[in-house]
Amino acid sequence: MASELIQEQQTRTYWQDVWQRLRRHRVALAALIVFGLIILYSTGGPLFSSYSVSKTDLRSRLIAPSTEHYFGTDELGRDIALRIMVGGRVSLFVGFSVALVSLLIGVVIGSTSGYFGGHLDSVLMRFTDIMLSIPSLPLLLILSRYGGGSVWSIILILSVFSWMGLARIVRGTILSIKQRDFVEAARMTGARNGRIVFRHILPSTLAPVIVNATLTLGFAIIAESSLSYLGLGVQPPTPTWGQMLIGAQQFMETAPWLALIPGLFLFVTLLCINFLGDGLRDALDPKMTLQN
Amino acid sequence: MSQYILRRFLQMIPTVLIITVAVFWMLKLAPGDPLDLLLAGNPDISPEHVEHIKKLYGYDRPIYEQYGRWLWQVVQGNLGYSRIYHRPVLSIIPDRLVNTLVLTGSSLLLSLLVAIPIGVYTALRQYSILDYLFSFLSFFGIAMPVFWFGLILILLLSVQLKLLPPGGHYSLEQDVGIFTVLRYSIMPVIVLSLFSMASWMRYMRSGMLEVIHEDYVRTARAKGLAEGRVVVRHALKNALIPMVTLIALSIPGLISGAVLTETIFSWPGMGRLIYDSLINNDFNIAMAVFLIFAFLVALFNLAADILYAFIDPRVVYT
Repeated sequence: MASELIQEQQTRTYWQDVWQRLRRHRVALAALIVFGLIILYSTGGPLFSSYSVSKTDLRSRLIAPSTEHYFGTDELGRDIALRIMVGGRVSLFVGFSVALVSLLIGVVIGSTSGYFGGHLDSVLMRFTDIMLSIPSLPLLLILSRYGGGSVWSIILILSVFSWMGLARIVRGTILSIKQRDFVEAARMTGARNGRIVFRHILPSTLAPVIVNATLTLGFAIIAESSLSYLGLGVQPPTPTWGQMLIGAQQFMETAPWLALIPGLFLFVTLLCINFLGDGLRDALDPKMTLQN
Repeated sequence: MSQYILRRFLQMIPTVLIITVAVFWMLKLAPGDPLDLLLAGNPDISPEHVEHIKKLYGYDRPIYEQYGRWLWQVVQGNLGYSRIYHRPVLSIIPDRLVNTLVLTGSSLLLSLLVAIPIGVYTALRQYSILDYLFSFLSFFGIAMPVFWFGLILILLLSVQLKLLPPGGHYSLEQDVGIFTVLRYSIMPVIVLSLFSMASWMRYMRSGMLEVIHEDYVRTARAKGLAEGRVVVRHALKNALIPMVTLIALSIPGLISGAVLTETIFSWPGMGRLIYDSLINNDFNIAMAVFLIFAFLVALFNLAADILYAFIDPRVVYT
């Protein structure tokens, strides 16, 4: 009873510490708030819009930002604000899903490789190296033809190219942890491999994994938008931020907002994710002490 | 040493082969087979004719046999014929390759020329205002999507200020002087370098910070060397070693970036070529470009390893 209490208190203080350190990191905190607002705007915004995402209206094409359309309209007369929201839903959903799937792949490959070592390790790491040395965008262009541009197929093919960093991080951390005494002690008590990996080793890799997963989220969003910008990502009528920029280059002189607004959302989101990742790196590191 | 280089060179062949095998399979199995599309568009072709054409191109054989044939042709120096350009692939590649190497090479150089001095400066003046400023700016550079940055620059420098052409290539101009080359290259090079510039700046800073507190730097100071000499000869030289790996690792990303940059600015390079070939189902071009990309990446890795052995006496090459 008493020991349980102490344990609970200790785990709580680690996460409280993390939160304290994150709060102290002003830029990361601001990034968290802005990112939250963007998510809120994308998910909740369409409920308050009276326009249609895909219905074209040629009488109101290329209207500059005004009170009626505060982000203007595109070349087919659709309200850009609403398309930003719906596109944001898609882009963010793809980003989070890819980060999650790569997390799973990365943790499985990284921990198998790091824990078992030997030939399995060298084969898996050789494979990881090859995956890392392939310029991903041209290959993504080929793969994108398989799924016909559905959101799920894009998530799948982006995940194939996003797990390598996570796998390496997990492997590296496990290599350094598995020789520690507490792992040895667990083995002595007769714990099976699965239990040792899941209960004793993986929790220690949590901090670098969270940071890396954040960066993977950024990578996935940028990769999805690049692919969509090249016309091989998520297909219309479903909008995404990258896809909204496709036509923008032709209307650069007459309607610059077509290029500015979706890109700005993309850029600010990525900026927030990067700042957040940086803040989390410091916040999750137990060696960083709280000053004052 | 030469034995080491030779062995490492032979080691890169399997990697390149694995990549070409994977790409070959993916292209062959992808929906929208060029021959099917061609035939679907022509109702006059009889089924026997289809069989005949498929046999002619060897499309009726299993994929591994088709790959074997392709590889055998490549070994003999034949990259096939382009469907969209109606020319041998080998006659298209050189110009494109040169253009891409000019673009990526200048970007690499620019990134290094900016990132190294700033990285060193911010490490030496840690927590100064400029340090914070550059660190903040580097986040902007890392978060900036390549294609949007390109669009913004075009909007600003071409549409608004009318300073630079919004795209194209200097080779299409009548007189190719240094000024023309610069006018066409400034925007693509800056767009492609931004990411590496921003991230290398950070790596350089942390690399310098690690080295600057080492004992040998303190020794160099203690024996009364001028600060400039300490920084350049003792600190910077050691901090540069990890940059070699970093550059080699960034090559695949640089190639991906080149695909986007060349598409935005209509720069006739390999990136634009692979994009066009995939859109138009030009199988032979796509395979050739991938083969060259794979070789480029492998070569840079090899070069980095060899360079490592030269600059870091602690590395034993076996």
